[in-house]
Amino acid sequence: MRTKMMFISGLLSLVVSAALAAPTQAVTVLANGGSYFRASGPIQYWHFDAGEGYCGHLASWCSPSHMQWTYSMDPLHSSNWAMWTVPTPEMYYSAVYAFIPRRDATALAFYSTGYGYASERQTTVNQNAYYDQWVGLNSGQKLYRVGTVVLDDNNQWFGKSGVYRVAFDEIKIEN
Amino acid sequence: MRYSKIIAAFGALVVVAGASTLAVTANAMKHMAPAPKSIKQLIGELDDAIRRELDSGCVETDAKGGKKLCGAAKEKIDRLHEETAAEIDARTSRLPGDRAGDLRAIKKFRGLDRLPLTYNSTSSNPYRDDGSAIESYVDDQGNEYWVDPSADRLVQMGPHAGSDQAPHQVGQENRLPVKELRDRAISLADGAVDGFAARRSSLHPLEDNKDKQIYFFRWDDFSAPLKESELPPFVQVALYADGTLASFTNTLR
Repeated sequence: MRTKMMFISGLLSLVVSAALAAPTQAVTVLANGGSYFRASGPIQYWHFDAGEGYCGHLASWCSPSHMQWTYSMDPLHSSNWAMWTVPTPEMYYSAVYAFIPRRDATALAFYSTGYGYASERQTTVNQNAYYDQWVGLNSGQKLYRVGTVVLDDNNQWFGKSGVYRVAFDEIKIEN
Repeated sequence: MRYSKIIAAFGALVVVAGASTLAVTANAMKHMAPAPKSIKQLIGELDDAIRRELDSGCVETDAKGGKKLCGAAKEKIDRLHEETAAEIDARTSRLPGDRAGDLRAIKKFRGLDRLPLTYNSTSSNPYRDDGSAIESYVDDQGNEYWVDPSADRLVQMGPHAGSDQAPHQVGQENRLPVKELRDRAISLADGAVDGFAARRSSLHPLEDNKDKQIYFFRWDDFSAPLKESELPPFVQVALYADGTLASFTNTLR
């Protein structure tokens, strides 16, 4: 038995009744667009790849049809960041996944997951090692009442040889 | 009169026996473990504890305007959060003894019989829209593994969150020809994906790289209709330019 609700503004809520001891399973996908996404920082530093990312060329149900990226910065001079906000956080433990697009995802990206009303889990993800796929943000550790995910241009690889780009695309929260 | 004495004696016996039974029962109950709390109760207790700390504990505002627990309140809630997560996972996942197949699958894939693996949790499989699960492990080399418990099959391997604090840069002298990388990727997929050699010609091949530092070899299966939120099933091998394995994914069905 499954109920699915979709909003092309970039939010998918999926409720699956499963024979588990846990509460009803819920899946939320938050896109890099719409009212649940906020991008901050100088506009000239944001770049957009049309037809790329999960909603851009792999999933037809959602929008926007682009992913966005920015060059990574010295942690002391971080300027651009984005926040995905869960409209109705699940009162349960969830795993958080980021979709890593194939283009312009080459940095050690710095994510913060807000959970439990007032707690935060900060971590890094090597976006360079992944290509059009889902990646766990917390090494399999599930978090209670996930409310926000923040990604910024702070990059621990800054200053090493190479040019690093941080990609911002869909976030998926599943319990 | 004699009968009344007998009845009285019998009654006394019943009372004594009943009292003894009650005493034994009460004693037994005193030593019985309390009924385990339901998941709903565990969640409720965690939620109540957080709200109490938000009301009266250490709370600060971060640079983006969000409230954050701090000090002893943070430590207390972090600990309770971890304990509750472990308790719920223990009740909703397979028993550790039933996960031996996971460990075998990972060690076989890596060719490392003694690879130490730490189980983290059981979660929903992000590649499937049917409630199926993955079991998550990390090794001591900075990698995370997802295993499908229904078949003890490796779904994904790659650097876990928090690892790779230095970039893997490959100098010109260590680069392998793309043909060599492709051959290695095919060989790895052949060994890791049941029936891959027979299925490969029916899959859609894709090769790409990022800044010629890391090469991706992917085979998509576009043959079956999918739920709209799912990715087409695929096998993917990511190799650094020197041939080092970066990540692997197999979502074929």
